[in-house]
Amino acid sequence: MPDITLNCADARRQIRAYLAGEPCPSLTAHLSGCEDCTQACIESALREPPAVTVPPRFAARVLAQLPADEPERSWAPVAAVILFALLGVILWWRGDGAAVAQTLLRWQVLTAAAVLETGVALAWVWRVATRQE
Amino acid sequence: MEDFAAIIEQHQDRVFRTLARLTGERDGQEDLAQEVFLRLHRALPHFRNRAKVSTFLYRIIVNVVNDEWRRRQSSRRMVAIDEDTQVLVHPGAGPEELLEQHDFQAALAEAMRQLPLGDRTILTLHYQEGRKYEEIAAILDVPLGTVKTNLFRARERLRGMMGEWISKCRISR
Repeated sequence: MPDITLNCADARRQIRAYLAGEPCPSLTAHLSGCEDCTQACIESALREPPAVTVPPRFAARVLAQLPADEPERSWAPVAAVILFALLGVILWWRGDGAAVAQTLLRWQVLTAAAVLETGVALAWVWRVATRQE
Repeated sequence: MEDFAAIIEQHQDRVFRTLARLTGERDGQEDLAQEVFLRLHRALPHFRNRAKVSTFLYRIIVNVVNDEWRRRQSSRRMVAIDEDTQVLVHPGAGPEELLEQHDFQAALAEAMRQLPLGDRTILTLHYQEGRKYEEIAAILDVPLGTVKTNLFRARERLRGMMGEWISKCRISR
């Protein structure tokens, strides 16, 4: 049975002071016989987060450990090469050699663009490699 | 990089206080907290729903603490009270000392440290961090019913331990 010197409503009002470290003998007596108030006391205590201090410059130290930003990879050169190869295979399969030559001529601009893009990609790889060294 | 700095600033308190409760240690959390944010950084490119960064972060915290527990266990620096209990070694006050001090908060912290890590996690997420059942289920990747059952069980265990402490306190007066 809960301690009769303190009812549950009074006990709940004392919980905050009790958790702050004030001696509350009547509350202790009440808690020893009242599961609901004990639970309320536990829940109040759990809701108070432990006192912790974030070390100064913590964020800066985390950021210093992050890997360097990697530029986004471009799949355009790969796609262009695959497209060209596919186009050649299709035309070869159709057996029209003139069409192959004509089409490749039409697409010479694309070829030039692909070569240029490959050059850029290689330059990027070289830059990343030298930076890591 | 600036965006991530803002994310760290926004969530660092949450990470430190959750780690403190889960490990039962107030100090020495910096390495674990750094690991949490490094894992978050690695995962962010694959993370589309920015609105739930906190849920994702809690999941990482739980994983980091679990990994730390396994690491310490393997290096024999962790003590198991019983087969189902996972406790980090800590230099806290002993039970007799806590009884003399009648310090409920300290006794609760001690009781939490003696609970299994799973119980500690669910109690921390629900009460200290104020997470709802659904979010805890998402964080721990378990069904909603499991969250409710485990929370009930953890609450019962903690109340049993604290009830015992209160009774001893009353007798010692």
